[in-house]
Amino acid sequence: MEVVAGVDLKVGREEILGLVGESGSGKTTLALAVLRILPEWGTVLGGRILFDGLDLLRMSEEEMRRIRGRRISMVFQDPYSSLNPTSRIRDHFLELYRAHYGHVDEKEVLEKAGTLLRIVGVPEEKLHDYPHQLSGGQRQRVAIALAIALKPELVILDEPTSSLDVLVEAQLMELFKDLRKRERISMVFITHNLGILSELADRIAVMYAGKIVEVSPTEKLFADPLHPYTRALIDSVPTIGSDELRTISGEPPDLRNPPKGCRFHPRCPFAMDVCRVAEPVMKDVGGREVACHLY
Amino acid sequence: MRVISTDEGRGLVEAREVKVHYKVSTGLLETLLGRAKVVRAVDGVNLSIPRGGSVGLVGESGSGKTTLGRALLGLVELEGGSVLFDGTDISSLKGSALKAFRRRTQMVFQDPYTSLDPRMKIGHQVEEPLRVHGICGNKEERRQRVLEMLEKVGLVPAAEFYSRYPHQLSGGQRQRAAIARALVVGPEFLVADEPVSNLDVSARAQILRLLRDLRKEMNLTLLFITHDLAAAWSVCDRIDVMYLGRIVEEGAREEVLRDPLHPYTQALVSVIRDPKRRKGEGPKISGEVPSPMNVPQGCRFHPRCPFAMDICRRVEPQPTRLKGGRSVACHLYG
Repeated sequence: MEVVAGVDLKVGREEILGLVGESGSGKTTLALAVLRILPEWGTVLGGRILFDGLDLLRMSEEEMRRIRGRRISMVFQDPYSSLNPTSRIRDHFLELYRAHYGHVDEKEVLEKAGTLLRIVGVPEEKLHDYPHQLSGGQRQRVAIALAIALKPELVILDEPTSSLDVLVEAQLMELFKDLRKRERISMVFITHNLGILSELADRIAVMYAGKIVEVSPTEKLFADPLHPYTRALIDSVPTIGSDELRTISGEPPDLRNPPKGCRFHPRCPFAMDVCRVAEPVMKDVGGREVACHLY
Repeated sequence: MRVISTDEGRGLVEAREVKVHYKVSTGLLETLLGRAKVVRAVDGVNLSIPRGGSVGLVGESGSGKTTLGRALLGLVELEGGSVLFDGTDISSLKGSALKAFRRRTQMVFQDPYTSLDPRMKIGHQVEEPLRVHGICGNKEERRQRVLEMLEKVGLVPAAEFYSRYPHQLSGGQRQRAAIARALVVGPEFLVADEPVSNLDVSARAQILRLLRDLRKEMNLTLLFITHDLAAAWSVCDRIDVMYLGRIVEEGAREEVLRDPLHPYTQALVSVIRDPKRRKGEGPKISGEVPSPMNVPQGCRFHPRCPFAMDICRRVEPQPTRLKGGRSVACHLYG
């Protein structure tokens, strides 16, 4: 089945792009494809992934290995899965530097690691602890320190705060804002939570059933969403002070058998005849992009 | 301490000074020496829900909200205090009275995967509680009742969903089936423990709406456990905020969520990210919830509270009744 279908997306230098969508929309698959770490049953059937002019899909595995971690890195939802439970935090840093630079001066690496931990807000002495001795928030901070250690140009963050408590999430959001100023990296921030992108992302891309349906500068997207799905996503978040609770009817489609025409048409309150037959293409609408027959 | 006065009217469900402690063995030596650590999951909670009322129990992980919910259903042993259901101490229930209590109270869990049997048709799972409780004499009556219930929770066409298996349903549909299973026996009190936390935005809104509608339609008394304050707003009349085993603030949803008093509630409200409005201002809270094995002295929140005073480090604040029937446990409010 086609999980990501004909997606065009750009991330600028030092830009934070939010990629939002519900589960099964293909947002994680898209990120894994960029790093070429799709599970073995997944293949990129077509298209190009350009990074600083290089076509990542045409690089050898060895060339790709040198890019991962060093020029493009990734932070996952669950820091348990990216940290090794049997290694101390210090060993994670040593291993990272060794993998990319071969023999390294241990003292120098640990000094750098200490500085990185300070930047992400973890006490330096935690370097000598194992992952289970850290709190959930600290583990995610360590994962972030590892992701930025080699000064990559692009960091992909896949639901980095979804498993954390809300107050810890708020602390991490401050960290991301701080990092963007300090480290001048581009970020792709993948989430199902539109709200958290409002204060972080420069632009937001909305995915539905393997397609990008809208790309907009953040403020415009919230003030005046163009695609009916974007509008519905915003409206279906309950608001304190209002008893209105709008819902999108129906269920997301089965990707093994996606609807003809626009993939959102069976759930769209504005669906017209054309939506059932023709797939809408991305159009430029006042500096924003939207794939919908209404425009 | 909040004293429940008699003129206030009796709640259908009442918790009085409820304490639930878990013993955690940290090793053989500790166990042998009788030094097993104690987790004070719920540590002196008063709560009263009138018939037809709905309380949103909010807090972060480790606050004890799930344990409190289970305590109200008699599913955990109390270390202290008591739970009253319809005026009767539930610890005294035996035999048919206990069975009736089990029918009159039901629970819906976060993950419908764990509460539904993957090998059993949806219809049969919803029917099971009817058989257990001997409701509806014959098979055809039961089937009718199940079909009506499936329809009520929006699994239509009901006859089609009746013969489907859990894996053939989406997450939202599975949660609907779990709700049908809980409500088919006509309970009076429902504990819904994070019923929307595993769901996508669109399914979440659907389930919140369903719970809100069913609550009115079936005159349910509801305890809605969630970490999502806006979700609690959309289904509940009253809000109880829990932190490390204690209720720190309680009141009508408008008061607690639009004019929070406790610094912890203020922080929780301020970080709500509603795409339809700007983020609010609130105190910056550092650190994370400490382990309930090491509950701080004095006010449990003081190590993270930006307003902590000397007294907060020494004396545990008790809930104080304020105007409008709300209460807060914080030294800032006398």
